[in-house]
Amino acid sequence: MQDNLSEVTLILIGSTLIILVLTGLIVLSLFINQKRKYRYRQEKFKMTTDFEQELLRSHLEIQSQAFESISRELHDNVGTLISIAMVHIRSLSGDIPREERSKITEADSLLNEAMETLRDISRSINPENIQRLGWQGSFIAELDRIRKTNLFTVHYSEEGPPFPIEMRKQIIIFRILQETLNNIIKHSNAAHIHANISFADPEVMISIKDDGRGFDKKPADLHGAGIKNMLARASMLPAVLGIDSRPEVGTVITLAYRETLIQNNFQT
Amino acid sequence: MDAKQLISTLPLFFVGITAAISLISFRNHYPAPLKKLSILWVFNFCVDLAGHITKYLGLKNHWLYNIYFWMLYLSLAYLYYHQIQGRYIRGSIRWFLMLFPLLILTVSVLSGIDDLQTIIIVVGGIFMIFLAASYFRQLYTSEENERISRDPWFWFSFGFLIHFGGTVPFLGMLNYLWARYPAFTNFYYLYFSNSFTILLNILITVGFLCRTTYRKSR
Repeated sequence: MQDNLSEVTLILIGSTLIILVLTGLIVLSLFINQKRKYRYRQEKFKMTTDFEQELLRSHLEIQSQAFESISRELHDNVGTLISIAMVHIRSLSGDIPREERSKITEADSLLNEAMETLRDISRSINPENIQRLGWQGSFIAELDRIRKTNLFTVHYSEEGPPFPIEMRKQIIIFRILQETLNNIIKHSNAAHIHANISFADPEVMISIKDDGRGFDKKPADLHGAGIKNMLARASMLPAVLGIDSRPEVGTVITLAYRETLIQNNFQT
Repeated sequence: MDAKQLISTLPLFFVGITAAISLISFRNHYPAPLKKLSILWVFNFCVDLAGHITKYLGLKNHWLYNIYFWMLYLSLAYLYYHQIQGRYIRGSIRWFLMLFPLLILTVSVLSGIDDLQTIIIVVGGIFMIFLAASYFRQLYTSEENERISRDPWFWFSFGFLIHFGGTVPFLGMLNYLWARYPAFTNFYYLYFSNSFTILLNILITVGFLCRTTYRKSR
């Protein structure tokens, strides 16, 4: 009887222990597996992000080279053609009757204006020029170019002492601001542009405000290539790009760049 | 009440607490399966309470626990049907839901319901172990990001696996053991079986509390 009891006890406790150990192993392997899956997902996400950043960098590099090439062509080819046209026009002035000379003068003036505009455009898109002037100087030059068109009243203000920023990032900051100004010129129908730069080392806040027609879409719903480029460039810095627009009131674009900013955020 | 009586009442106390805590599932946005499990656990508590009362009154209460096990296994199988996504496992649950009542009927007709139906306990218990293990397998192969410790059914399955794994061998031999080794059976039931019940209820409680926010279902 005692032997039978021992056998029964052994079977009972043995089977119970086996099941408990198996259960423990199953649960442990579940936790280990989940940890492994999490680590794998993190690595995959990092690889995807790195790849996208690299792709973006290559895209911007190609774009920069294209701009450089266009700038050179504008200066070397188109600029030369305009100069030659100006020389021809001026050479005609002696042979034209006095009453027709005003047309020559006007043509000369228009060609001169075309030449200046061409130079401005060439300078604004040439990366070497941006490097020479810096992002702030280039931005001010861009505002001057817009002011000269007499289509907008441009106001510029600045606060705080400027601080140095890595050249590669200066070019990106300038391109974002340049795209913003291009959008104002093309789409806004504005009369006034207010640009403000506020330096507070290590952060700089740039705001560009117009009193144009605005829009009521959220930034996530804007599908234009220009906006996408701006957002992509901001993410590269990284910087916080804010787009606040109200129909019939205008649009405010803010760019906040901070040297130590780790994560990218988009404000709406 | 002596020490043994107190120890034998301890699981009832834990079942009661678990049943009470499970009622938080009736708050808004808790999924329906949790509410159903809560109802099952309140039923569990009521049956266990009735079992204790009849025991102290000296009445035979195996018929009560037979009904309890029928309801428990069928309800859990139904709840797992909605948790498990595998086609074949769900098929096996459908078969179980069809054949198990037939088994209950057969055993009840042949052996009556006054004695504990150990065949029902073993068959149902093994199937519950199978379902809990299947759910673990589903979690293992799942692509979802959420931590498994925030999945109530992980805790429930953990509890069922331990409880049924620990008690099914014993309960399957209960009638045999009571007849031949009553002292050992009493000892094992008091300290081991009750411990598994307490552990089950702790894990069920953790399952109900592991997450308090659920997305509103559409």
